[in-house]
Amino acid sequence: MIIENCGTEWILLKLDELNTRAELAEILNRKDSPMKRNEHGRGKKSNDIYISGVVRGPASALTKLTQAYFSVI
Amino acid sequence: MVERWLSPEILKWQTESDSGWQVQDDLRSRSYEILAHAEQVLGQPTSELALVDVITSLRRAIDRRLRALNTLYSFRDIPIRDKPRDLLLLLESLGIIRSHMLQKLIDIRNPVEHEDVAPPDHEACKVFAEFTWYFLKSTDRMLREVTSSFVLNPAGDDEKYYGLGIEYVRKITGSHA
Repeated sequence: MIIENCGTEWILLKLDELNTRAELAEILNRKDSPMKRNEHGRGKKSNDIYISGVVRGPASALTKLTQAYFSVI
Repeated sequence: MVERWLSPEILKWQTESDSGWQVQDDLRSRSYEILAHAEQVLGQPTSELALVDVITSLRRAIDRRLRALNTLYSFRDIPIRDKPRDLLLLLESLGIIRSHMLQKLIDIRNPVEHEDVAPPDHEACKVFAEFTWYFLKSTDRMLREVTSSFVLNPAGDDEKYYGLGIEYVRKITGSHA
């Protein structure tokens, strides 16, 4: 579902974070922050990977994601 | 900066609103007030000038709604290249509206307003008033709550699969876990 090299029509993410769940929890604890991200999401095992970043393209994917956004309203 | 590529398969996943914020009522209500005025005029014996008033009021009700939507969603700032410049066509391309009837009302209103052309007859104005009501109703939801983020999940609630959370901040960001 996630690859490190470009695939046709695959969606480019510029990553801000790439951590395991355990690492993320440790980072947030160090910042004395309550766990705020992904509390209700999936990937609850300590070695599950949590990534966060900005969607950069392609344009067709941005269009479909925007349509998906307006479809849930 | 590290790059990763997500499978386009995620675009077929189920979508669901995740979080949002409430919008004040007055952003919705003004268009209904203008529509109510048009309907009140239509409910009485009408002259040609009264029908001009109806057409221009309906156009104003729609315009007001489009402006309210644009205020909240900044459609022109959506980071899609080569998106339609025309707002109606842009909204249609995003699946929010169908633009044909709206465009028809605009096409009728402009010569009526600016060139003193005769307005449509009473029955046609009633059809436009009813259409305006449907348009407002169909976009009310977007003015009740603005979705801040939504989630894409495969295979229903089976949590053995990863999911994707998308935060909408006039540019699209994504997190995956």
